[in-house]
Amino acid sequence: MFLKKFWWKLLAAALILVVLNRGLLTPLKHGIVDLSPTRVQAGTTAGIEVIAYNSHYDRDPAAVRAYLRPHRPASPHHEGELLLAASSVEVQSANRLRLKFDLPAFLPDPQKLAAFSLIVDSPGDGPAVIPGKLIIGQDSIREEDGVRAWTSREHPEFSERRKHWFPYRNILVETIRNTFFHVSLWFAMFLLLALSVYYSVRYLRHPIADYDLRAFALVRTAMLFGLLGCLTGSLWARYTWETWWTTDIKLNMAALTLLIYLAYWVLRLSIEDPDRRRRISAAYNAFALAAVIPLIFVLPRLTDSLHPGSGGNPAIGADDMDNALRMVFYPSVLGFMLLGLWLASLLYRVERLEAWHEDGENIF
Amino acid sequence: MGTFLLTGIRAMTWLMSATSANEPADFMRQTGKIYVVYGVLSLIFIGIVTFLFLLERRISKLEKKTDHE
Repeated sequence: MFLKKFWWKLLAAALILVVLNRGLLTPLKHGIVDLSPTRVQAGTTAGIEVIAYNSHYDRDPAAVRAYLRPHRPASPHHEGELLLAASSVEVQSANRLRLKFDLPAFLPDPQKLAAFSLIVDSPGDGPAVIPGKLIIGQDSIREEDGVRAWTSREHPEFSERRKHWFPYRNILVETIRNTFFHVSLWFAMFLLLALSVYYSVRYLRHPIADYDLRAFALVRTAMLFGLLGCLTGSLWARYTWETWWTTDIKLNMAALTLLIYLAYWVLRLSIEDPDRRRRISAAYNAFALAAVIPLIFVLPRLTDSLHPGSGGNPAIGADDMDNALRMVFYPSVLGFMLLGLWLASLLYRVERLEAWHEDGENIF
Repeated sequence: MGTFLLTGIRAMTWLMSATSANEPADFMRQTGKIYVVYGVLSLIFIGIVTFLFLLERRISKLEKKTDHE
């Protein structure tokens, strides 16, 4: 039956459709883009202008609240919450606020300068934080008095967060959606490469030309995904890291991976004898993946990288992904993997027919 | 023609007003850099279409061969 054979292709199409739908139409949570001035003095009344993204402060201006909180966690002997509520909140537009804070004369900090985070809470949007952006200075240090002045008697109840909306991140903003496309391409590439090694190993054990055709088709489809991964990553980097290409280790290792497989392709073209070509390229393919895995998965974690997951953390840890993103990311990975298999199978089938035609000519 | 121009100008002013709040003039950075996502999707689409185009050429060659026999 038609469906029996094609269900996974329909699944691929359906998954990608769902990912495009959810991944592009789900809004971002409300976030604070910037505040000014970023340097104020303790013991004064500080007027602070706030610019926000995806906020609806004008819907219920009276309910918008703002707080300052020390960026560093409070010293361990202190109990209670250090929080200073804004003395006045003036809503200028849906995404602009003018705040006034009556700053106490002393800070809950043993330094002359301390960083503070601003929290804005609005009923429809939920709370948003800009961490450590506001620097407050004090002339003399009396930490005990500072702690007393900053301890809030009221425990503010924040509005409910929108659980299914994507997180707001400065610099990334809407491009956080690229996670579903750029990262999935790389995941799919690795599945295709792993499968091609499976067929290469099968060829080495039983030299049937069909295995070799499958492995070669899978490698080239993986290369297409790798190339697209590089190009999309480059575009993404241009508008977040402000450059097309950085010396980031993961980028250069990804380029190296593509070169390794380009060499595989050239190697195949350069060997005339078909049996030798198949055998050598199958062995090369198995070693290529063994070389690529440390390049992409191990080396970037040992050194510093701009990519998430460098320095030992798993790439999709709790810091980089929240549940709203995961709900779209996992279907996306599966969708792109199936799409890759589909493309590779088309390439393989065409080449099988070509091989059949050539053999036919040889025979007759 | 006049109404067309007028609509164009209106669209322009609408775009400008949407960006004048605090966003940079750079097209790709407007509206929270959403056009970067558009660019990424376009690249992937172009890649897959190129793949199909190259595949179709080989299928055409096969067809020619089959018709020949």
